[in-house]
Amino acid sequence: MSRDPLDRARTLTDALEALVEQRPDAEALVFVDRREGERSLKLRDLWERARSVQSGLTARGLRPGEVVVLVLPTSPELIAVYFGAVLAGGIPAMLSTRSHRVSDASVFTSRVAHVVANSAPHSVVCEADTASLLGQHATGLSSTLLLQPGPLQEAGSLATPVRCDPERIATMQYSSGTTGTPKGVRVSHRAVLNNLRSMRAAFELTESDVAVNWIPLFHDMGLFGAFLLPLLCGCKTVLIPTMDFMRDPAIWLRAFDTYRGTFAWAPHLAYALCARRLADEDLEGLDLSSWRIAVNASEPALASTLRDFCERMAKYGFARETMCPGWGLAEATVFATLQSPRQAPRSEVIDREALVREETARPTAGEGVSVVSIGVPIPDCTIEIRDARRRPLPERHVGKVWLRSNALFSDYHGDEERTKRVLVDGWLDTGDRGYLADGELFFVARDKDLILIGGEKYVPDDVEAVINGVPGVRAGCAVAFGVLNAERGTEELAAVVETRVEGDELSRLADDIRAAVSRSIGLGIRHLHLVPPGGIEKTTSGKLSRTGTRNRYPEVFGAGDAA
Amino acid sequence: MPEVLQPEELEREVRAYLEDKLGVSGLGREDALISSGLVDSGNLVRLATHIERRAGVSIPDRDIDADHFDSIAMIVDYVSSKLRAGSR
Repeated sequence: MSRDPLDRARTLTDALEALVEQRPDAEALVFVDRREGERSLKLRDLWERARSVQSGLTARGLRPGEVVVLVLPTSPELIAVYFGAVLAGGIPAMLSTRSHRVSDASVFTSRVAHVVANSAPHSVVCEADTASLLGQHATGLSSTLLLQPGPLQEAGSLATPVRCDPERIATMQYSSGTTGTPKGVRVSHRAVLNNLRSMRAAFELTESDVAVNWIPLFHDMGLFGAFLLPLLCGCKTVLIPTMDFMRDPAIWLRAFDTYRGTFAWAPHLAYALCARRLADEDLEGLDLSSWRIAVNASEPALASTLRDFCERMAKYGFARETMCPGWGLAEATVFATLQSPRQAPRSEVIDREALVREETARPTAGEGVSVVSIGVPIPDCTIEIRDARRRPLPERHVGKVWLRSNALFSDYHGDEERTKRVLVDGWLDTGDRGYLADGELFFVARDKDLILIGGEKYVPDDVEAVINGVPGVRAGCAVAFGVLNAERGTEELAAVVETRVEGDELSRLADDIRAAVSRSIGLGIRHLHLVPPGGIEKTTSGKLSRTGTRNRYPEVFGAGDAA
Repeated sequence: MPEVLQPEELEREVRAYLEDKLGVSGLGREDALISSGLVDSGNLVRLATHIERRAGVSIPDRDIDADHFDSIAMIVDYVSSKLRAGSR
């Protein structure tokens, strides 16, 4: 039975070992990059490298249950160290390398330091240039063991992989984005394997499928969707470093053609980019007809982008049904709903008045709010829409999305309070808002307090804290939020800031604010509005209202959110 | 092999890219590209890759940051110095 390795496995170690035994010579992993071309890795070689890393980590004192932080680009080394840590009974936690940011180096190093403080890891595994950066900038890392992947793979004697209980933690995920308090989402071996099996069923994956992805592996979608899912299902797993995709997005589509790819995951922004920014000569001669599933998740999908992508790629053989909006979150390992790969993306237009006044989704033939279906729950997932008092709501009523599945996370590392707030009686409060119609989930708004740019989450409080530190800003009187740019297919950063500064000084203050945020957060403020005291909307209890403030200036930020 | 671009041609090349791809025009040479939010990190690396191809220089990932690419003037200086150094 071809499905045995994943079906029988109780831990990630079991799953990998069984797969290696079954097909040692399969060239399961292929790395494609813009300078070096292609490198492939046989399962047997992957296993040997991982075993070496396991021994290397153990020899350096790693004990089962300890965290190993990985700061490596997508590469054979990253994969070997990830599995090496797992085989040693450790808990890998991946973080982004610096090349994903345009901010100061100190922003990157302080983020690593935050995670180290939160997770008290055995070690941080990174390349030499990252190690020297961390040595220069990061305080609080002096007692942390910094290891490089090269020497780790040169182990002598190999030990037997550590066997552990399926309830033990397999991986820790740190939410992406800004430098604020890191939230380590811990998932068990059982949860990870359950979610992989559910995804395999929903995608109808077989060993003849080929995954082609560039999304970063330090995100849940990359780690579980682009790497572990295809690999442990026995599919060929093609990986492109994220920076190479960012520099030359067509490399992704060309790899689909070269390897006869069948599935991929990407945030909405990437589809918008391919639909609108690639030159025709980049696409010439491409054959995308083997592509079966293009998961579109991690930021809200717009019907207009889906249509533009499908129309542009149609002449290269891309079928409309291939585009599959979906939804998930790290607290459910990664994935929860998917639109069927057998139908074209579905969206509907609902009445704005009914949505705002009654919180109901009433389809209309006229003007309204366009909402994209993010599909039906994958196997072993159940969705419920509930009101603020956690009572279930009927179909077409907008409320909070609650989720139950066999792949929910174990806890936020060291934060029992936070865990209890979202895990209630076996259900997960996802924080997102939506409605169900004919069993399909329609997404209306996410948790209002997040800014989502290119699939990365940013906490507005962090942006506001930076702005509040700029001289000339009225202390505590800044709000930040995201404003959707439909053309780019993602949000842009916006802020309203109160100041007593007037006249010529205003433009200097604006420059100072932009520079401070860019340095600290790595984002430019696209829409900055400076207002005199009182210009920010406050609630009756005196709290700053981000939505209220945004809606006060429609001429600056456009029409506000409907919900 | 692309011809060696003069600074004025480089500047035209950068401006053309910003206008065609990002719809941004009328910028001063010193205007901030990154902190103004006009160019995000994704657009920045694509701009760098475009210049790399047109100018025939190699721009490593680690140089694509606000220290080298935050204004048209900085980009022109950076690429010109690369061309002078002959890293073609």
